[in-house]
Amino acid sequence: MREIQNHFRDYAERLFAALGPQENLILQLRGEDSLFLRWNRARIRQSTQVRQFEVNWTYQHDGRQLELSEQLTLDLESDTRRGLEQLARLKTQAAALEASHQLAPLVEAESAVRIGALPVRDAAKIANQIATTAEGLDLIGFWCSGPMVRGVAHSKGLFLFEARDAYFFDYSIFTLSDTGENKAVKGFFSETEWDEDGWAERWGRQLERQREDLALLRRPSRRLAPGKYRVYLAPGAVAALADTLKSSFSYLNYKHGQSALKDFIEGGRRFSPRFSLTEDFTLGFAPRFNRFGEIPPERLPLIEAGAHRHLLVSGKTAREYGVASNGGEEGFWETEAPRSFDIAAGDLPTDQALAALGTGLWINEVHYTNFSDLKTARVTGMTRYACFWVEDGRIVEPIQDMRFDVSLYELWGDDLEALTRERQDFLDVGTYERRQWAGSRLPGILARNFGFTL
Amino acid sequence: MSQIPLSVATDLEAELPDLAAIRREIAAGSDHVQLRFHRELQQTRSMRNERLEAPRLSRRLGVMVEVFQDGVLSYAGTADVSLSGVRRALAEARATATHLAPHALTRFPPEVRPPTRGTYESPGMASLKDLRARDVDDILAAANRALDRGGQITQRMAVVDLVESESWTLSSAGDERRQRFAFWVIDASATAERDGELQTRSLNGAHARCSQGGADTLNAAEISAACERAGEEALQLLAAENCPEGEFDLILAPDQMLLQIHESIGHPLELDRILGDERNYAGWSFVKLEDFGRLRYGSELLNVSFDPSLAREYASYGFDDGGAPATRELLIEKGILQRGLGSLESQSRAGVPGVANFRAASWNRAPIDRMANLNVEPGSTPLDEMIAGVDDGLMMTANRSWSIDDYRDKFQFGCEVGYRIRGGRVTGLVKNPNYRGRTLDFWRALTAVGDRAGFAAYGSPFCGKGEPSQVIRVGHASPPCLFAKIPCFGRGT
Repeated sequence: MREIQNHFRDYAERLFAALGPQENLILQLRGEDSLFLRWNRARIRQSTQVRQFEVNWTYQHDGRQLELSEQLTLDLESDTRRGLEQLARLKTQAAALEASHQLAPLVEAESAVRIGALPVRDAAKIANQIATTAEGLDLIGFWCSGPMVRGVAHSKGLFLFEARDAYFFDYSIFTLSDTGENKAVKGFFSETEWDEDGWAERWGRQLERQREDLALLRRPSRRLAPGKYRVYLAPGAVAALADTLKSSFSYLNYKHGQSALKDFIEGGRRFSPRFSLTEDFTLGFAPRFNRFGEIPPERLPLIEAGAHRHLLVSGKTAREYGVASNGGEEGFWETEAPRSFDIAAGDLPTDQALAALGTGLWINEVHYTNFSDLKTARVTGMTRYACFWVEDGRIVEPIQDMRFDVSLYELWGDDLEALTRERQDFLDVGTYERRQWAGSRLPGILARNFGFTL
Repeated sequence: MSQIPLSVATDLEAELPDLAAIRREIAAGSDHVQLRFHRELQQTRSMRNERLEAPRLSRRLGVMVEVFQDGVLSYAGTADVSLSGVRRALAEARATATHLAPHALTRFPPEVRPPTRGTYESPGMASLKDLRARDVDDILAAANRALDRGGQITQRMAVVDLVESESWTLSSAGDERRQRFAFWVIDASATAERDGELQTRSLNGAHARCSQGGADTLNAAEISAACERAGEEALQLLAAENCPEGEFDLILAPDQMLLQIHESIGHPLELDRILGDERNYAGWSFVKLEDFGRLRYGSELLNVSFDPSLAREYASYGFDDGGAPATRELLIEKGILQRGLGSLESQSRAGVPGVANFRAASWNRAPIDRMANLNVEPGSTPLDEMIAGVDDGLMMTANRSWSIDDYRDKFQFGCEVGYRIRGGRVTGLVKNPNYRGRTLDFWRALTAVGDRAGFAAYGSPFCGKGEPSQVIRVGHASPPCLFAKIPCFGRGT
C-alpha cells in the first residue's frame, strides 16, 4: 500500500501544481485489491479479483464548484495526463457557473498516514479450508478479503491516508425441515488479525454450534396469525432496522424532508430513555475523516436517553444551511450516514433473554426492510433465517416467515422493555461498486406489541 | 457555458493504445479468454429550489478478464487497460481458475460462450452532439418553476442524469461485440408541508423515468407539464384523506406496475436464484425448476415478455455479457410460466429455457443473471373503461415504498398517491396508499389489462443483487392493470 500512498501523493501534487491562485482541489481516494469467492452448496460458484482505485475530485474556482470521479491506473504518467485533461475541462465549465452555495471546506488538520498489517493470502488454501470445514453442509456464502484504502489530499496541504486489511466470510447454511420446508441459519466470521491456519479451526467450532440450530429448525414450523407479539430481536435483526434508519440522521435529508426522524428532531417524539445511539470512532469501524478531510468528533451522540442530540453534518451541508459541520460523511445515496455507531447496551444478560421473553418470538434476522411511512418511522420487512416460537422461556419450534410493519418510535419507545448487556459487532459487508468500510456494535432488544401483518 | 457540449464521449479505441498487442496476447494462450472493456461517462446536473447544484462527472474505465479453463470460469478486473495491466489480470484469473478448479460448483460446456460478433447502439445517439450543458440547465430551471405551485411547496428538485456507456468485448476465439448506450434518468419532485404533514410527489416515483435515447429524450414542454401536475398533487395530498383500509379493486398505473413486475415476477424467475446462488443475500425463490411449463402464475390475461429489443426502453441491448444475442421471449403466456430469466450458464445447470440476461454492472463485476426489459404485454381494456368497471376501488401511481420476502412471496408496496374510485369514476385523491399480498394470489387476481394506448415504459438504475453486489439498469413497460380484492391501507395500520 506504500505504492498506492506514494502514487496518490504524487498524483495530487502534480494536479495541485497546475492550479491557479483562485483554484482549489480536494481529492478523495477510495480503493481496494479484493478477492471475492462466491460459494453455493459448499463449492465455488464464481471467483473474482478486483483491483480498483478511484479518486473523487471537488474542484473549486473562485467560489464555483464541480465534482468529478476518476479511476486510477496507477501509472503516474497516464493518470496525470488524464487528470490534467479533466482539470482543463473543469476550468472551462467552472467559468460559466455561478458561485456555489455548497462550497466544500478546505480544512486545516494534521496530515496523517496509517497503514495496518497487510498479509498476503493464499486463495487456494482458503478454498481448501472452506470446502473441507463445510463438508456435508448446504453452505452458501461470500468470502471477501484484501486491503482497502481511503485517503484525502487537498491543495492547501492536507494529506490523510489509511490502509487496512480486512476479511470476512458471510454465509448461510440451509436444511430441510421434517415437513419439507427450507430453513436456514445465518453466519458470519471475521477476525481483526489474519491467522492463516487458526481461523478455519475457530470457524469450524462456530459451524458445530450452528448445527444445533439446524436441528431445531428441522422441527415442524408454526404458522402465526397476524397480530401483535412479544419479541426478542437478536442483534442481527436490530442491525437491519438500524440500517434502515441511518439516512435519517443526515442533516441534508432532514432539510429535504426525507428524514424519518423529523418529528423526533423537532421535539414531537422521543424514544425510550433506555435507547441511545452514538457515532463512535473509538470502535474503529471506519477511518475518522470524511471525503473533505474533516475530522469528526471521536464520539457524537445522535440519540441520548431517548432524546435528540445531533444530526450528521458534512462541511458541504454546513455551508449550504449555515450550521456547524461535525464531519459527517456521505453514504451511498450522497447524504450523511453513520459509519461507526453503537446502540447502548442495557442490563439484560443475553443468556437470560429467552427467560425474559417468556412467550413470544425469537427473531434472529429480518430481511428487506423499508419505510412504509416516513412520518411515523414505520418500517416493514420480513423475518428471515432462524426465528422461533418460544413458550415459558423455551424454544418450541421455528415459525413460518411473517411480514411485519412497526413504528420505530414505538418499538424503540414505549414498547422497548430491555436491551442486552452484551453487544455484537457488525462489519458492513456491502460491496455495491466497492467494499464498504463501516460497522456497528449492537445489543439485542426485548419488546412488546411487534406487529405482524401477513 | 452556452457553448459547452453536454456529451463527453470520445473514441474508446483512443483510450486503449495497446489494443493490438492485447489481442495478440490473448490469442497466444491455449485457454478461452474474454476481455470486456467497459467505459461509463456519467453526468449529473441537478437543481434544487432553483439553485444549480455542483455538476458531477464520473469516468469509469476498466477491463474484466474472464478465463475459461477446463469448464471453469474465473475473473479478474482492473482499471489499468494497458498491456501490462491486462497481463497482470490475466495471470491472476488463470492462477485462480487453476487453483480453485477442484472446488468448482459446475464445469460448463464451451457452448455457454457462443461465438458472436456484432454491434448495438442506443437510438438517436448521434443527436447527443446537438445538446449543450445549458440546454439541460434550462430544463432544470423550468422544471423547478413548474413545481412551484404555492407557498406550501417547501422543496423542489429536478435532476437529469446522462450516462454514455460503451462495452467492447473481445475473445481469444475472435469474438467481438461493441455496444454503445445513452442512458437517461430524469427526475423531479415537489415536497409540500403544512401543520406537520409532509407529502412528496415526483414525476413517476424516484428514478423511474429511465430510457435510452438521443437529444429528443429531453422534452422540455412535457417535463414542465408533468412537474406542474406533481406540484399540484403534492399540495392536494396535504388536504387529502388517508387511504382507506380494506379490500378494494385496485388499478396500478404503469409506473407502479414497474415495481410490481420487478419484485414479484422478475426476481423470482431468475434462474440463478432458483438454483440457489443468491440464498445468502438476495434470497431464493418460491418458483421451482419443475414449475416451468406448468405453473399458473397469473390469470389468463397475463403475458410477460423479456424484450431487450424495444427501442428506447432502458435495458435494451444487442448481446449479453456472455455473448448470447438478445431476443424477445415470452416468459409467461396466458398466465402459465414458460421460461426463466437465466443465461446460458444457468440454462446449462437448470435444464430449462432462459434468455440472454448474463449481465455485469461494470468492468469490476462478473456477469450474473439479471432482469433487463421485463414487460407486461398490452391487453384490450382502455383505462377509462377499466375505471368505469370499478364500483369501489383505488388506483395507485408512483412507487415510494417496497419490501418483499426472500422467496418473493409476501410483499408490501406503497405509492405516492392514490385515486379513490366510486361508482366507476375517480372521486378524489387519497394519501399514503399501500397494499400488500402474496405473489401468485395477486397475479391470479388480474382481471383487466390496459390497451396499447396506456402502455408506458419506466425502469430503475438501481436493481441490486449479487455477491459482490451490483446495481444494474432494468426496464419495465406495462399498461395499467386491474386486480380484484386487494388488501389496501393507509398510514399507521
